[in-house]
Amino acid sequence: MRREVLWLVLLSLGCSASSETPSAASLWCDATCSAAHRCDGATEVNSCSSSCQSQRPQLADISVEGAQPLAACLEVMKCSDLLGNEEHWAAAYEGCWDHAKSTAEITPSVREFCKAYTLAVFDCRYWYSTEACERDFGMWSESVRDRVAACTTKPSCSLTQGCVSAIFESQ
Amino acid sequence: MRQLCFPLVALALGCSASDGDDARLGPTLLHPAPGCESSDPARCDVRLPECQQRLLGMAACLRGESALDLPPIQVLSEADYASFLTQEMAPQMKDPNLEHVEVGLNLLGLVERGALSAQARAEDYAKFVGGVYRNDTKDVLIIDHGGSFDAEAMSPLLVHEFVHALQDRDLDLSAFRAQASSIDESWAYSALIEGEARLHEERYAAAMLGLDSDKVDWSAHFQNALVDDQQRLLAEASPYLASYKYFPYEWGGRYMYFTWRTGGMEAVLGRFAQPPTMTHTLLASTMDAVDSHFTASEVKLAAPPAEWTELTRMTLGAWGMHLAFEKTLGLDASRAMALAWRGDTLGIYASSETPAHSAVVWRLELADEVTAIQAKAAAERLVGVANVRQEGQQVIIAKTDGSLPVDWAFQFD
Repeated sequence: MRREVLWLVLLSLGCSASSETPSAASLWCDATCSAAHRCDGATEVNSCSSSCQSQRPQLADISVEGAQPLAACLEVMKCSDLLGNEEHWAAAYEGCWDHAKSTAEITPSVREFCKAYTLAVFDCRYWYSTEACERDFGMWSESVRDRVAACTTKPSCSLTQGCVSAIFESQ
Repeated sequence: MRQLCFPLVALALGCSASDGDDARLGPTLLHPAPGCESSDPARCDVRLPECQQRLLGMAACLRGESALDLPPIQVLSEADYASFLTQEMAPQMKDPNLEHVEVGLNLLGLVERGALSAQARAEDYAKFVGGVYRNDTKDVLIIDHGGSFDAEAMSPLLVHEFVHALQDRDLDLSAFRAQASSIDESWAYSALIEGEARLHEERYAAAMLGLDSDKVDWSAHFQNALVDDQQRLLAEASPYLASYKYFPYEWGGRYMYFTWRTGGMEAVLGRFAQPPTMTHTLLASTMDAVDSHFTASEVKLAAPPAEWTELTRMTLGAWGMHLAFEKTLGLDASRAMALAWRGDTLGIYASSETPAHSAVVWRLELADEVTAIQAKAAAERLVGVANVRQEGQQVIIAKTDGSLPVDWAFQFD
């Protein structure tokens, strides 16, 4: 009996989470637009978020697991950082990114990726811990991880390095 | 209902995983260093005694032996270390022959002018070194390079230095090095010493990083490190002098990995009992640790006339030949030619003029006449046609920075 109840609970959690988990782009844009509204009192959150998402397709490269803590941090960002100059924004954003890295959920997919990726880069003499890899790549979507993993099949370490750099330089 | 739910449970679990810590995966799995399963591979602050003690235990375990008493360890700034080195090198700088040696090596493209000055060497070394075990004082120095200093990231480096301390206990490193009868032999011995330390440093690093050592492609790891550093070395203005940063670690690391792969620590220790005596062996060991199946020839130099004084002689070996000829032949061809090295002697001379000029004479013996002809052509591009002669398997290069002739050097017995 207890087991059946558990199944139902899990099913209900699963279905609701699955259908309502927003995308990384909407998490990011909702949070930033909410913060803008808080700071200037004029920003209309829905239209701001909608325009933000269409203007920033690269947000799809952030993982949902990473976007959640990132959005939580962006939402409470200081107005002077949010509306200040580029330098303030960049520093505050980096702080949020680092915080999100350390709290984002590590999924089995990230763990599998890192097991292989850290070995591949170790072959190329880079010392990259699986722990750091999981923190770093926990922030990126599966699509980004797939592209990075494809780089490790290049015939030389310099080509691998160039391939990975190109992916992140475009972010 | 249960049947319907079952495939959805995975989805439910998957989605709820993002809801809170309960569903987070556990900490990253660590893989201990094989054979040292009871040693914690986690990195630690190398300035702390408990960390030092643990890493010493790790180094001893990786070598399959018992630890020794913890050697004294101190952290020095790069500037302080450079200053210490400058003072230590000062007496060598008073050697009146040093200027001529520098000119001679410069004429062969092996060092740039000024490279042998105490200050230049001390600054270069202090910038490069992360740590050092000093076998004369039996202590370890860790060099703090400033902003980037990360005391935990230095853990593999401290394991490396502890390997030297253990080597010193077992071998007496000063005595081991003193056996070398030429510079070429010294390079080979350095490659054994640093190569073994690099091997264990990397084995430890893999465990520290959370990698499964059994899944590491160690051959690729050591080969890629060598290829990478080879590029760095060849970009240096003074490649022969800069070899200390690359050759012992990368060529030695690969060689000692091959040795360890074949017979574990027993084979590694066996190498120290019967070390390779020339850099040729390390260059030749590309897929496995191989022997050089020849005895290097004793190559004689002609006696100079009265207006020249011989200051010093040395053997640059296959390594020196590889570096000198790389400029005109390219990497692969110069390496192939260096593998045909069978002996060399390089002499440095000072003229009796005032001020004195310098000359270098380098006589090489190759495996066969065809290679000697190719070496002659490469040498001509390096130092000019008038400065090279070849006869049989031998090539003589003679060059001066002055105007007195050096034709006397072209004597093939």
